[in-house]
Amino acid sequence: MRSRAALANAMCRTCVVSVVIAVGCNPLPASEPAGERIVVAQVPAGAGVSMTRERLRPNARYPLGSRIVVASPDRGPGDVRALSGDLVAAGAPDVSPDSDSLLFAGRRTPESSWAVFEAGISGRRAPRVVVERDGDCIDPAYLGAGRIVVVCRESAGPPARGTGSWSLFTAQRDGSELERITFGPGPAFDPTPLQDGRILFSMWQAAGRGRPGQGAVALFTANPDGTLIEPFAGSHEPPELKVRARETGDGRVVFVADGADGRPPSLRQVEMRRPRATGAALELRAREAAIHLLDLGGVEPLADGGFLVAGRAAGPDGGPPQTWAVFRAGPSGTEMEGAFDDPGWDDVEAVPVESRAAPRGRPVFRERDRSTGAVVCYDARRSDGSVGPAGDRHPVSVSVQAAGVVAVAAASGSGSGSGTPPAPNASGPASGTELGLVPIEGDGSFFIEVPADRPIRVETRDAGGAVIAASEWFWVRPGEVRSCFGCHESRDAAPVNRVVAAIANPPVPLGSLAQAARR
Amino acid sequence: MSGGKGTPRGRVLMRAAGLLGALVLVAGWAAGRAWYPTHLEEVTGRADTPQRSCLYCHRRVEAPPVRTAANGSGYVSPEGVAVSADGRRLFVTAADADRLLEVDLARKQVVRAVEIPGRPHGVAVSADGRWVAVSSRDADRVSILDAATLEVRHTVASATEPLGVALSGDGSQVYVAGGASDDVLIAGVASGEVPVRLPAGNEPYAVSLSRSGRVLAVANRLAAPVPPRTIPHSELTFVDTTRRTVLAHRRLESAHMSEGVAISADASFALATILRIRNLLPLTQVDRGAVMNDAIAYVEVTPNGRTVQLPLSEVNAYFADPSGVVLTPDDRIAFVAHGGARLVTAVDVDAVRRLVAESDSDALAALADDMGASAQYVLARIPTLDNPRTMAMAPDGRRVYVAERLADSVAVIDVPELRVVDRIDLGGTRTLTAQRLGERVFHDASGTFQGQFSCRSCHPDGHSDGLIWDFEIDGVGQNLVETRSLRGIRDTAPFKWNGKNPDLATQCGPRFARVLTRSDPFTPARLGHLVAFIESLPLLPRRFPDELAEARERGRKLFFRERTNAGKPIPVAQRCQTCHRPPLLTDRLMADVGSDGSFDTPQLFELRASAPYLHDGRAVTLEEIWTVHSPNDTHGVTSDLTKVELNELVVYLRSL
Repeated sequence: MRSRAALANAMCRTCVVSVVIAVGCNPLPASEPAGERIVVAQVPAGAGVSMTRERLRPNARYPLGSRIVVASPDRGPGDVRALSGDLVAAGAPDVSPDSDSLLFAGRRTPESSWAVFEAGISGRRAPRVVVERDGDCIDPAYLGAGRIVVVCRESAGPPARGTGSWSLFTAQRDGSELERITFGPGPAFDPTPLQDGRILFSMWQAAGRGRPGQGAVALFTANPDGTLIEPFAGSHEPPELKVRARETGDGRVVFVADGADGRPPSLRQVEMRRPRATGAALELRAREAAIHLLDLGGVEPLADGGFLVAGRAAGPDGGPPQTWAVFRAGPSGTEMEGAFDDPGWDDVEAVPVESRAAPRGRPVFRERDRSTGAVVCYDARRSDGSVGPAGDRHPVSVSVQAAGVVAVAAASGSGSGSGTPPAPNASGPASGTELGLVPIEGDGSFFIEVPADRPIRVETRDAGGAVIAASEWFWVRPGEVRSCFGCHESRDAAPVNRVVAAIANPPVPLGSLAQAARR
Repeated sequence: MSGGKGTPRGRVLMRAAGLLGALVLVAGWAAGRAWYPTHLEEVTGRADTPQRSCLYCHRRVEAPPVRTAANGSGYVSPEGVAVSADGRRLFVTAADADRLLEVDLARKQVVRAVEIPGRPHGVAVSADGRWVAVSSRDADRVSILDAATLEVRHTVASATEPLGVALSGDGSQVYVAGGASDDVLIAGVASGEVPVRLPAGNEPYAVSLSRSGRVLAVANRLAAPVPPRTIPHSELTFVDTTRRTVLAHRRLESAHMSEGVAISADASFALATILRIRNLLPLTQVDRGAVMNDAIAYVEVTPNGRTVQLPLSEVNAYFADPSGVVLTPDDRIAFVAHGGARLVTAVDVDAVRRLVAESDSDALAALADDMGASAQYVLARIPTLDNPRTMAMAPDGRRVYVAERLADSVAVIDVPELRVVDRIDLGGTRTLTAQRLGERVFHDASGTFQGQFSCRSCHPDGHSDGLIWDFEIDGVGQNLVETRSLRGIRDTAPFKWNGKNPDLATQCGPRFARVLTRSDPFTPARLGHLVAFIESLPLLPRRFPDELAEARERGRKLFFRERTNAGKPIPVAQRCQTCHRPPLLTDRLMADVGSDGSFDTPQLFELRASAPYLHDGRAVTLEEIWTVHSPNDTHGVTSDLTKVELNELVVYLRSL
């Protein structure tokens, strides 16, 4: 599949990453069709699925009868082979880096929960269950170092630990050692590996610039063990829904964005070299007639620099929408053309069967035998200016707060309500429980021990006790020492090399926090 | 025979002999067991020494090897490159072959090789095209060759580990960075006048002469030794070559490892490659440049000129070990070779100058830690082969020649196109030994998360960066440790200051990945190669002034003394030689010398270049070990020494 032209293009792209002036590095025209084979998630035609706005409703995305097939676009829609076996519904395929296998979500019966299965691309191997538990598990993806990530919903448990919401879990490729790794107050979903070993995913945050009081869904990264949760892009930019992110081979991340403005979802892209400052639309342009997509099932980078896009196109001349189909676009979204369309089915997702470099692994930093982690802030006075200390108001203390889960009622059932993620209820994270108040050192630093695996945030306060700035909800894993370089500082900034007063002593323990809170 | 083995009597005798032997063994074992603690205490002077096998001490070991002339490996390892004045020839120092190579750039092949003993390093061509200067790092001299015949016409002695070298326009003056003497040497090539030495920071490494020849910029590699919890700094030195005086020392805070410098044609500014370091912060993560990042320093030469550090990294990508830097003749584009990233970065110098001109001092200071800033001035990332280090610009500014040190080749970059258009094979063996493969691993940052740093980033030339780090694994803010040298450590296991790693494979294994590189551990093959390379690292040749020979000898006697000046016996445990036992100058045991705990006893080789001292670098100088940090003779008995004697002891230690 990776042709000479594709290789040449990949090499060429390597040399133009970060290039402002690049002369004589013209990508060769691709001489092959979209690919020899693609894996497609198919939904019975006319089911009326909504892929972007129903991210957390697998039943709505993949109604009964949906299936996974492998197809050869150049041989037409008749040449498909089902890979999902006897499952009554299936979707969300991801192809392994060696292009031998695929993971997907499926249901054995109409009553059963969604589970994650693995099958061979060849179709000769029946699907075997990989992750199956009481709650639903969907959207699997292959990681590095022989691990996988899935999105699961806890079915029961204490609300304070975020149960009832969708969270990321990682496991060995055979499903063993399944471990929850995200602990935000709202749902985390749509994971995809980055080549450097981190997981990129969508997560609701309270302070995003979405609908007033409802937060937004932005892109975040974390290690496969859940440590080092970091905003990646889109935390402070509309629209409020950013999902289905994928890293390209040329230093970009593309994703599906959707707003509340009534316009259809669109593709956007950021550059890895500066994701928070390079957001731009990835415009899909057809060679001849324009193709307007009303919904997007996802975008998958191809080895030759192009993309596979599954979408539902508007009908010609304002006619009724066409069925879902698979399109192929060039590296910059140019010359989009139809690649695959099975008339009897809605082709809602498509993944190329291409070998690619496996993502790197990352060591495990979480320590199972611990129940707490720590947060060290190097300088709470350091800010990007958008929030935080102003004038004579200097942070002198930090309030540590813990939250319960945001009950996303609409997403709490497999088949009911709106799956648009997410909207906190009235008792959401804004009303966190204060664990304690800790003085900030004169140099702006503090070092505190915090409970692990639950949503927490910190608020800096001035001498009068007034709030200066509050962090977004985050978590630490057991044994993790989480460093904060400032308080809402630029996320492009590295820390300043300086002596940090707070680390002269061990972290302020929880007992002291409670004591301080009582005072 | 009646006593044969097969007879009953023979069998009885055999059994008796076996029994006797067993009894002897048991008796010997019992006696040894009773004697061993006594022996151990006699040797170490301590009753708490853990028991080891006899071979732990009584094995055949020798002092670590010292690097000698060409190592016979068959590799070329180009260290320095310079283009002839007419742009037709390229001169390349072949460090591992002890040769200067002449490359015909039209034919793209080596056409001549002359022997330059002593590990040739830097090379420069005079502007008039007549002379070529080559520094011999291990031979302490600079050879001045006729550029046409490549015959050595003059030799300038420089007992300073000569590294970077430059020639005045007519070749009459040579400027040499003295890595071991911490100065820059200015000498007449043939005049016989007394050379001038000017201080130029800790381990001066590279020099660059302005077009007029009046200003010389000198970059130094290591930060000045400072106590723990102190911001380190290196510096860029400007020299007035006419007056032979220092124009300025410019501080580069939280920066070091400058291996390249390029001064603009009009001598208005210089660019120096740096690693921006964050060693005062706990190493809780490497993400977001939390440990270090690659950068350049833009330094204006004028008296009140600005010094700005500009990251070359990106938010999610790092390009480790920036080394050489060159400017186009019009000073509009700079090229930086990243030894750990297999690429060259092209920098829009005009954009840098605009950015500097339009920013206030606060904004310029913030730039140093802004990983997104490089998008404003980086033009291209140009892939190369292994370990690109030094570069040379063609006189017409259309080509850059990049020494790919561990690929034995030179990449040719087309400046207008900003891409490699040719590659020149320098010869050398194609066989890749485990050591050579390990050397590549050592210099390759791809094993670290996002390529942030390589082994070499903290161990330049296998030595130490002289910095003090705070590893999370030892407790945040606690147990700071100074980087230890890797040279000559083959037989000195265990490793780490806490002595917990029994061998180098453990030291560089999965735990290392969790603590430091924060990515996949090395594969077993790469780990094996890396260990082979580290074990092969020799010591550098010793440099010792003849005039101190007598003082050194007196210092040696003090080191090995067994009685105080008053004639009182020094307890075994407090004699220098007990813990720092020859030939390795370490007994490989833990010792408490009053520095807040027990630590692995370090070997003492190359102490001169290993400041600061003690496990956490609390002693900035060797003298401080005893004058400040051993007030009660906790670190050997030295309180009876006179000031002169202590100095003599230090002279001896610095000579090791």
